[in-house]
Amino acid sequence: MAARMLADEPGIGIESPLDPIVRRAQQGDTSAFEQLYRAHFGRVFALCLRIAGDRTRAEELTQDVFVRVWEKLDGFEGRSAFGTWLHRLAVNVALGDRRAEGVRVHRVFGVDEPEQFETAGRPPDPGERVDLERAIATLPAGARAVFVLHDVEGFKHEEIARMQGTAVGTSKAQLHRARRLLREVLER
Amino acid sequence: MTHDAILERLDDYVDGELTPREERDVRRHLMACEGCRAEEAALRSLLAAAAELPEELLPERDLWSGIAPRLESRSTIREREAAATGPAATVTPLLRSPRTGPWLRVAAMVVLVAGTAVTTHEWTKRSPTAEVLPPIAADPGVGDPGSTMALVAFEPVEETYQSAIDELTGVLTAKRDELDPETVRVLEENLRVIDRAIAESRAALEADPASKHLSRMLNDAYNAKLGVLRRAVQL
Repeated sequence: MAARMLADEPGIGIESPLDPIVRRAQQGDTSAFEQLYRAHFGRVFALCLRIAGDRTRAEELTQDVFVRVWEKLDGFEGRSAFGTWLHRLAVNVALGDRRAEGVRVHRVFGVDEPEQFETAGRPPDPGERVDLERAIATLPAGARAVFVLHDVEGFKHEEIARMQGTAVGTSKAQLHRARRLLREVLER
Repeated sequence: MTHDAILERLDDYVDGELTPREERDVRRHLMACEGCRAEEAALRSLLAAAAELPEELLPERDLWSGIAPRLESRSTIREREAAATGPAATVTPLLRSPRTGPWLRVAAMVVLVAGTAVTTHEWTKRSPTAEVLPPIAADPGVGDPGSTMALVAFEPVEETYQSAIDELTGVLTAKRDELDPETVRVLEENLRVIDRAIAESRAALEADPASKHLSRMLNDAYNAKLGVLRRAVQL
């Protein structure tokens, strides 16, 4: 099932939580931090792109993630692999962006369930064959986030619900919706 | 289980989230139902494709050039975090500042702002979606290390904050009657405290317009106000 089981994996790229590069970055060495960025940005960008569904926004989010990582670096104590810690933080930043979007929707439409008004990416033209990556981008934002977190990143519904501040049932319903929509798009 | 019930459980089935008994019932049905087997196969095929997606994707431009200028010194970050965590940690380093007078006043207001965060904690517990949200505007001065006029640099950011605050205040005013009167009272008191912090920070910044520390404090105060309003509209 889920691809990466991120919660359980030992880490990405730089495996040791006590890696001297991390320690140098914690001491304020920006060139060490750039090395960490170079080791991890591809994975962070992939996550942001899939959750945001938009390349420009994903680039901005990726930059926000690494600025946030830099700010929070003192809090990394090596209890997990650095890559795991970083990726969790990236998920929080990407989901935070979704929540902020929810607040904007609330401001404009005055509804408690922004999902009602969330927009999907451009739907494929009739008869157009699309790959999974493109199909994910066409999903409504809530369903897209849950699909990416559950089926691509390997988070469990309980974790997703906790991170999103929703019920487990909501997460399952979103996943069901996402899978159904994806199959519809892919099976054309 | 009926055919429709099985279809509804297929997601949980392929995710391995059914009880052994439920799983056995689904498996038994699948052996007898070609349509459900096709559904299961399509679902598993989708999950296999998801598992095969590349772990890394590359942006079309170099993002580091937009990150490096935003990295503050570690001492600045530690100072700010200390200011946010408690009165003792906030005031002690500021006492060493040559501008003790205005710094102390502003620091005291920051402590008050931190106090509002404690008060609003009760609201956030009531609203599971109301976790801490990211700031709406960029940290002023951070992206422009060469600037000597922190006040000038902050003004467009202030406009962005003000616009967001106005919108959220409008939403809140519209739903004021739906809120518990005690919640409204606490909310208004907290906003008054933050408004004082904003006024004090701004006055201090006007007196020392090159101070990036003061512009950050003003930014923090605006951010605190925005945070309180965002949480309030989610109640």
